[in-house]
Amino acid sequence: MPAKTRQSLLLRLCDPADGDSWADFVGIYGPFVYSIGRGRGLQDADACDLVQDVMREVARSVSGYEPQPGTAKFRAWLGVITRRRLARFFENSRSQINGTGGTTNLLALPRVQAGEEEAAWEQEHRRHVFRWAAERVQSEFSETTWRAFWMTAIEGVSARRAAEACGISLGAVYIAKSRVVSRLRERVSQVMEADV
Amino acid sequence: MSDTPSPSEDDLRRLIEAGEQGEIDELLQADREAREGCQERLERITDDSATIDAIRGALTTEVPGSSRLLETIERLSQRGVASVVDTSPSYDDLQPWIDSSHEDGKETLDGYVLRACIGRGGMGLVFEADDVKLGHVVALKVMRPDLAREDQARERFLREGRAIAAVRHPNVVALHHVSEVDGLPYLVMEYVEGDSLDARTQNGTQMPVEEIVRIGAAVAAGLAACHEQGVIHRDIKPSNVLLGKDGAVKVSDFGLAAVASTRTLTHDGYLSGTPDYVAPERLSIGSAADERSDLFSLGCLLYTMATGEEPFGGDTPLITLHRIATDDPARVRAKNPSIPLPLEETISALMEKRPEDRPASAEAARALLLGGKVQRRRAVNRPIGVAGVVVLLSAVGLGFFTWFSSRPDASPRGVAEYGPGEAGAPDTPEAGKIVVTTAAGLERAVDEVADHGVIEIDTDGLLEVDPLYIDFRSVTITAAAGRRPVIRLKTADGATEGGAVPAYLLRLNYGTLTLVGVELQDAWERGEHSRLIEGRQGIAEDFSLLSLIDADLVVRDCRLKTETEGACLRLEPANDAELHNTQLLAPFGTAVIMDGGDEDGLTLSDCLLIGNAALVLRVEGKPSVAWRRSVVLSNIATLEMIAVRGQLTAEITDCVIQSAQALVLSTLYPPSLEHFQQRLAWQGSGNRVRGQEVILSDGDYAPSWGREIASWAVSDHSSVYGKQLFTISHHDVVARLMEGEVVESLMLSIPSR
Repeated sequence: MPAKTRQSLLLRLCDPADGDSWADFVGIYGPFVYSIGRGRGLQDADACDLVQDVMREVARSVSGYEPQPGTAKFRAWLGVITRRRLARFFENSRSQINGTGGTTNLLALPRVQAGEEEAAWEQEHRRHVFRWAAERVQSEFSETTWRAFWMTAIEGVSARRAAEACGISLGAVYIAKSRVVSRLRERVSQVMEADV
Repeated sequence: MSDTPSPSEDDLRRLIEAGEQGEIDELLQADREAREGCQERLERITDDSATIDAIRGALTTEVPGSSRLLETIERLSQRGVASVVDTSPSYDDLQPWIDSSHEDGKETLDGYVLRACIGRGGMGLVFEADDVKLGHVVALKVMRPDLAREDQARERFLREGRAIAAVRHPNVVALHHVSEVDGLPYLVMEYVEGDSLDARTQNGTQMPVEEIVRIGAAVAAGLAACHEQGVIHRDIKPSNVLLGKDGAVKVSDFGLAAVASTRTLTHDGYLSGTPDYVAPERLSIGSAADERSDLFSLGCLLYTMATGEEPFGGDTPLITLHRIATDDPARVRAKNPSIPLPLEETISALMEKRPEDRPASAEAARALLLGGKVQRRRAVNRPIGVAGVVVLLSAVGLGFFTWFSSRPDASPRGVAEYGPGEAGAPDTPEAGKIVVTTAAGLERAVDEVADHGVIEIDTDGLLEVDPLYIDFRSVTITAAAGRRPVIRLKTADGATEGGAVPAYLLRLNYGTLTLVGVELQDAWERGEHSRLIEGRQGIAEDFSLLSLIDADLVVRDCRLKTETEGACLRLEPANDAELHNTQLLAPFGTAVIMDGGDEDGLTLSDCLLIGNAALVLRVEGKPSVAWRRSVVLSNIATLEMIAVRGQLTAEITDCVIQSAQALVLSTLYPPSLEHFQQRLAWQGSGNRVRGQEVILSDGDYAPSWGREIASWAVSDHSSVYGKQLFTISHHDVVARLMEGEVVESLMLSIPSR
């Protein structure tokens, strides 16, 4: 495997010449930030602005970010950026409505990350990473292979019935399932490794 | 029934990985008859339930999305990480100046026919062009239109251009002509057909010794010719050394880096390009580049040619800069033994950290390259300064801090003395002084101390305590004369297992706290606290060493240190808080968090604050902060204003302030400078300020008045530098400060006024 692909997404992101990693990053974390924003009550357009702001800030800060083993996670860092931007949105929208600074404040927002909310944030993150990986991986396989994987793994159809439905042999079904799953695992770990 | 034994899981796994579909099918066929469990094994192997469950969860849960989101993502991904922040000019920017009305489709700029864009940089675009009048090919260097709008930058560009025009030397790209068209300056230069040195040094190629010497000596000769005219290059690097097809070596881009740097100093200030060849003295505030800075860069250039590697190459510009300031690169001959010793010595001499240790001139460097003998000016290579921040701080050494130099004058207010073992609290409230020497004694004294009482700690030792809580009293906690006690929050034992994580070390609820000569700290190492708090009661950012609720505070000669994401000091609300000769170190959290209302104020003098944010302030009325002779280093923002419903008055004098990002971060996005000033009344003088962004957290939001606010920020006669050079949290200095090392000798540079 060439060195490039072994590196985690985040490390690759620090290389401005690596356009793919940026596209990957935006593909995963864009929807993630969007759904965090929507979850906090932002409208569609505002959530999109939030995505753009956060991504821009990441792009700008990424050269200054040095992952260190056992220390603050990348997601936490992303969380800080997202929270700051979110706070600004609330601040802006409130001051536009009633001309004051509003009651939502930054001190309250970090709570989003602690305790129970932390788990929700984690789950949301995982969900986005897997969803993104699935989308990417699907395009790497033939329709039949993907369908065989989908029926057996996701829908829980027996291998034999999947083989009949897809018009392939039983062995091919197992191979399809195994390959898609291991490719998914690989894709996901590339992203998750970023959380050094 | 088959004679061969049924395949193991490993066998099956191998078959699957190899894609042996036929063989698997045969096995399954046989299995069906023999029922040897082959299919069950296959089911097991392919059932990675962790991955499958996660995928199922992800794909079957509704995730919000919209076509607008898809468009946003699409747009962002197409632009790439570099272009999202890229400020380099594009051809489109020049369209207003380009005449494309020619019938034959030619595009011209001020009469020059543009053939191709051959270069693009922070400063402008370079074209290969035809000079129709004189009938030859030239290189046309056109200034960035947005830079050209700035009078200062435009004038500098033209001035420098004219200075270079005076230099005629075979090793310098000749400048034919300096001109301007509709406010857009451009240079007409000699067109060198060939490549830049860049193309030769890439891919780790080590060049032959003769080539290194030939090119190096030619660059030195070109530098000497320019230095003679008073022109400093400032940006010697392989891409600025042109190698003509005819063997000529020519230095290009003379003096122009300076034009770009006037901009980066006052504006957005992202590091443009590679800092690989920048001389260390240029990393410190206030020191100007001179001829010897070019010599350092020449040394780096030679190093790269000789070893095929950049001497300080780091993964990020920040790492590179840090290395330039502190590291000596590996010896040239260790990487390429074919380099003769004298050449290695010449390269090392050129790359000396201190300009005065380098060869005295470009001419001298050239002589060395061509066979002179290197006079070692000193025996050992040793990095300058501790690190960049110290370089920065010692730039104009005037103020001088000796932390803890002034011993607390332990003048007790009360008369009675109580040892920790003695029973009973003083019954005369105004007259209590309790002397303690142990943690248990301190814990008890805190419970028992009377209003206006004094707790004197008469030990140099470490006092490990549970959270200390005082309410409705005015209390002084002081070190005994000559003592330096450390009060540490106890966290290691079972007291916190499974329960809540303490939110403070010392809290005073209503009253006045005077703290003198002590050190407050917790036992958590970086990251430990946030890990501990996961799943427990508590919020990482809520922790603070010292917490005051509606109380007044005076701190002298103290040191508060935490590696958590919390704060050293939390004031809710601020009331009157004064800190003198005190260090608040929270490199991963916040130095001070305060709720500021009417008449609340935070006064700092001779203090050191370090934090991701130095001060996070909620503005509810008209609070004020006054900082004097202090050093404030922050990673994200020096001053972060949140929930602004009022106006903060900030009076900042004679301070050194550095922020890796914004100096002032406001969650409120003011539509104009005027609005911003309504939120923040800034009165400053005599400060040395450095931040990636001057006042805003994001200039993109206020393009029309971003420049206005930058000039407003400097109008207080502070020197403002808007360029990020170091990320303090990763800095040596912070590490040492956290260890308590350099504090005794930290020199501060407060400019005199």
